[in-house]
Amino acid sequence: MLSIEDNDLLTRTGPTTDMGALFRRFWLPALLSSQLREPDGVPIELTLLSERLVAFRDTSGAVGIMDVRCAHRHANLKWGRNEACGLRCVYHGWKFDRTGQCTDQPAEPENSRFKDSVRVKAYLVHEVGGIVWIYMGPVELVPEFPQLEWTLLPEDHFLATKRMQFCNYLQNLEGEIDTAHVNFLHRNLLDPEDDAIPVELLPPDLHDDGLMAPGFLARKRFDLAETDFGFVAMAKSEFPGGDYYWRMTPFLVPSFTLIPSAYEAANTWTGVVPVDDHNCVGFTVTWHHERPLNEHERLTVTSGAGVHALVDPETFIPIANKDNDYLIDRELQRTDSFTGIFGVRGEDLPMQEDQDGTITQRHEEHLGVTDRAIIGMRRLLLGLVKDLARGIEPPHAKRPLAYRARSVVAIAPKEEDPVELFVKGQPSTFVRASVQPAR
Amino acid sequence: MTPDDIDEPVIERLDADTVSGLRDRLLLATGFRELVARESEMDALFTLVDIAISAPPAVPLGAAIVCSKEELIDIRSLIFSAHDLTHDNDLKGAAELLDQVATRLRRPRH
Repeated sequence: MLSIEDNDLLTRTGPTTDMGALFRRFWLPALLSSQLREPDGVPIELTLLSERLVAFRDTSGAVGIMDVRCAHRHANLKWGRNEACGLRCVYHGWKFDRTGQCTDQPAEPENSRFKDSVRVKAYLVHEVGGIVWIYMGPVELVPEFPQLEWTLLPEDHFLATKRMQFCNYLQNLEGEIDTAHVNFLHRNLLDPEDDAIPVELLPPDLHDDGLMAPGFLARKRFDLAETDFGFVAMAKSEFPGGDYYWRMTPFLVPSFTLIPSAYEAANTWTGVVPVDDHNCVGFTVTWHHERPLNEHERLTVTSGAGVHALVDPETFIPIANKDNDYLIDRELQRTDSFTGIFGVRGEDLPMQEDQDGTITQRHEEHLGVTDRAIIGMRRLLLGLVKDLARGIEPPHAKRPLAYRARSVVAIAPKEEDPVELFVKGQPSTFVRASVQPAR
Repeated sequence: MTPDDIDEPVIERLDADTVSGLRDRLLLATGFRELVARESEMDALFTLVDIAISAPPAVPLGAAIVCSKEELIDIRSLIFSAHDLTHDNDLKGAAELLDQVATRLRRPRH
């Protein structure tokens, strides 16, 4: 549980809030590169951390993100003309380049220098990995860009998607690190092997020995190891044959996770950013570190069957959403899937979008031992928020190399140290020292 | 660390010995991992007392056998405060509150 005050502290992210200040110390995903297809194309309005912004790709191909309000009389710049390296307000013709500098005021006197002193607030932007990233904090504190693995790979090695989600960001984030729900919410009733174990890890004779009864992996024990990027949540289950089955979910400050995957398989990153206190935007990227994504992996992304939502291409609102009861099929729920809802992400949405509404009352919840990762995430974020309010900057923002982490799924002998198991699953470039022994 | 370090005690009863045991472990907690584990145990304690108050069974169980509803409300409040102090790394303060909980649960009943 959390006190009402701490819940407010974590869930309020506007410009004057403490959690908003923490978010503003990190590079955050703002929109997909594909939303700004061409230079001088259509500008896009977006809201992040309760700030209304406009994004545009200028004539040079570079992206700018700035206050949506024209500095003049606050007309919305999304209606503007994107031309000759700037966005021109169509109300009185004031024009701003992607740094926010006013470059033209055609109605002012001919020799006026007034425009030189006029700006709109504009933010630093970095475009990589199919995503346009934004830094909304103090310019003097801008961190080096985190070395998320897929951002270092060729374009055919990854696919990035986004979706709008109608709840506070923390409800999504808690769902992302909660590996305990996988065996229930995402269960396929027709496939007893479906306990989220990658097929390549299953012993070939497993279904014949009677041990793969549904739910045999459902009872997990959890522990955490602190890392330079945040922490890794480690969940173990008894595995037939006397080993442990491990699912290790890294939580990367401030709001990123890696969904457990085997080393040889494609990996998936999730990032959530508050739109405002009652809505968020979720980004999901699937990549393979050694090769282009294959057809099956691409289909899993584009079909909406997996952790990428099927969305309206203009609004990014999931096709199955609260207004249509997430297209739940009760017959399917009786016979086929635990929920009767299509897709892994599709199943997550109704759970996260209505936990007592868009901001859950955490002082009334009842956590169990499987919620340890959620408790750890809240503790870590609250500590960072309170430190920042006292003037102590979050150290994670200054550790770009640590963000080159992967999740881990492994079956290992019971005596194997889970921290070592996690380190073994990291790319060779991963900094070994960044994972602290748990004790 | 070994995999079996994860298999720590699980809070399943609201009684004085359980609370005292948690208090002792709390005072020994040093790192992030251990503090999260203790916090998780306090969450479990909170659950036991909160459910006993808000959704009591027809036949009282656990602490509800020996505590009045008013006492349970006081105990819930103490556990909640201890949880908050643990968040703020005031382990001594949290332990003192858990001591108070244990004392109340040990008090002889008439």
